[in-house]
Amino acid sequence: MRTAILQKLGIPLAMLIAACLYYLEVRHGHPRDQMLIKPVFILMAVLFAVNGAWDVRLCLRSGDGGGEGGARDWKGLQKIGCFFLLAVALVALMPVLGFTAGSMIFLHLAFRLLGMDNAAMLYGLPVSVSLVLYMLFNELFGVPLPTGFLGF
Amino acid sequence: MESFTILYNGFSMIFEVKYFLLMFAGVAFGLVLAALPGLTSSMGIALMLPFTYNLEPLTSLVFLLSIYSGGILGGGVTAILINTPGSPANIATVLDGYPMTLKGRAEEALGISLWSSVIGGLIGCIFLFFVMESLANLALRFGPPEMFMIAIFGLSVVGSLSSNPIKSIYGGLFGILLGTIGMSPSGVVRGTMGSYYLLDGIPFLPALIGLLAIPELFSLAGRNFVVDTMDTKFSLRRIISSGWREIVRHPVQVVLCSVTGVIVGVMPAAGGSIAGLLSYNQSKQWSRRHAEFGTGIPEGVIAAETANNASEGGALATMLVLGIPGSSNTAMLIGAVMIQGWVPGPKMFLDNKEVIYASVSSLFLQQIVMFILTAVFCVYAVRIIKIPTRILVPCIILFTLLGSYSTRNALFDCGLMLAFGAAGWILKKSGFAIMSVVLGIILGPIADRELLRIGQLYNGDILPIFNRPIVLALFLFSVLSVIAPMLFTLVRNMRGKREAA
Repeated sequence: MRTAILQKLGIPLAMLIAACLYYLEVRHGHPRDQMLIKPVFILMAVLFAVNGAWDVRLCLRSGDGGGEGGARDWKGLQKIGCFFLLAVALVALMPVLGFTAGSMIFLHLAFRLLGMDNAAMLYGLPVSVSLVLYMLFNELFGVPLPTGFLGF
Repeated sequence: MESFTILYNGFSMIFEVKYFLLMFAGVAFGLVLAALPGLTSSMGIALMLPFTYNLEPLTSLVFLLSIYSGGILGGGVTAILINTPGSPANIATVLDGYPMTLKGRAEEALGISLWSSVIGGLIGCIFLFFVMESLANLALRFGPPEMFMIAIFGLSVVGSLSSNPIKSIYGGLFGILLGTIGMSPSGVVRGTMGSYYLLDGIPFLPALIGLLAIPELFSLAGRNFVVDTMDTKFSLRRIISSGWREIVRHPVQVVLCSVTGVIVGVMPAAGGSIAGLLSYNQSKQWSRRHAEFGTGIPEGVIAAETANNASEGGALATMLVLGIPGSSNTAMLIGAVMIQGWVPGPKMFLDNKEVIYASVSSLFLQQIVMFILTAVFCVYAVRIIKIPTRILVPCIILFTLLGSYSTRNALFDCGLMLAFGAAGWILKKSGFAIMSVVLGIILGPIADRELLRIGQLYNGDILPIFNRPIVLALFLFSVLSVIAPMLFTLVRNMRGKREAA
């Protein structure tokens, strides 16, 4: 029960905390800079209370224990999580690796993660896609892509 | 008369091989993307945005509008064949389209979808052409109070964007706060956490790509194929002739549903999905065969497909003239015109009238291009849908990262896009309407800026703005758009209870 309520209220609460921190930051400034922020924050707080009360009431009425199907979803969630971390790692390491090398490694690992086992595709596709994108953006459209220690 | 001359000039500008090639490329790309469930034409526009940096405004608009046009029609193909709407605009299409497939009438359903879309699209274009000028002239009389109320009117629809209006409004309010981050119009830095990348506010494109595209890609990453099974063969001639036969049997419905679509399209953030559903419900109530709706009848497909295509003409009118996005597609298009250095709003239309009319002329031609390509596409759709997601998803992620990076050549924007992607995915899983957050991010800064100006004009008092007729009218429309969906739901529930009793 507690898990279900936490699941329902967790995200709205996180949003309210972020809004609260933002409001606390601007409330010391001139009133004209909070003409919109202040009423929006107050309305958010009111809606959080209304929505929270409604969700808690629904949970209590249905007696939903929550967490069911959690194990079933966990594998998919892990895959998405790993995939997301891979994308974050690509962005974080791009200044060091450069776009071309970074995207080749990203694509190779992402293909592996998503279950591709064809060796030709695993190596050929990342190289070709990365090179095509590099040529298109860097050479054709004049968008300077990050260059790493390899110089491209 | 002047508009006709400009439109004529627009057509003469568009009749070039270059533009026709761009139209074919754009429509084909939009068609393919929209046919892949989870991938939308807004994602297609986002992917192609970096390619338009060095293009002329007209070339860029023609190309992106072609993706947009193709994207609306493509989603109907999968909705009919496999009960999976390729884009949210095609939600109502599955209600009768798929049952028609189950009855062995897939070719007919595809033909109806094709003709309905093209006719609906053309009616939307005609509306766009006739209304754009007067809408812009009216908009010129808009001062800070009117612009503020337009932002409020745009935000007033957030309540109807999900089944839980409170959550939807909550998301919209959070979006408004996100939209006010950065340097305020009075020069005060707010909520940047010390990052100078956020001084100009949250960059629009990375936020939009992250919120709209990434959650859909994450959902696809957990699957092997975008679509699992499909092995039917179709004849091009039968698709076109059977569809036309049904369309000529229901001319009044086609026109009425198109008009409904246009009206819904003009409303900010209402979009094709609401237009399709509203038109479907309307047709169901008015039709003599209302009891057969949902069992696979042509009227159901006509209602959904004419309205969702016609709605885009209305949405484009609001976007091109007022700078308010009526859907995620038009939100992306606003990003595209901003790249060209245009500032969305009435002035943008007046300053670039010739280019905008030329791109509207291209919309008429795009309907023809769309018809040809979609007819062929229906026959070959099967093969494209069979591409494994393990190839598609990583490549598209790479494209979205590049799209975000190219806006300011800053890796910070890529990180921001991923952060918004994760946030969008969590919000989606928690039942929030992502579009409400997007609307908040887009319209929040406008409301903030105009409210500050109102404060300066009326010494901090907001009530005098209600003495202005346009403000009052917009305020009433805003209240109506908040209350009307709730009233409709209430009436529907009461009617349902009465019928059940």
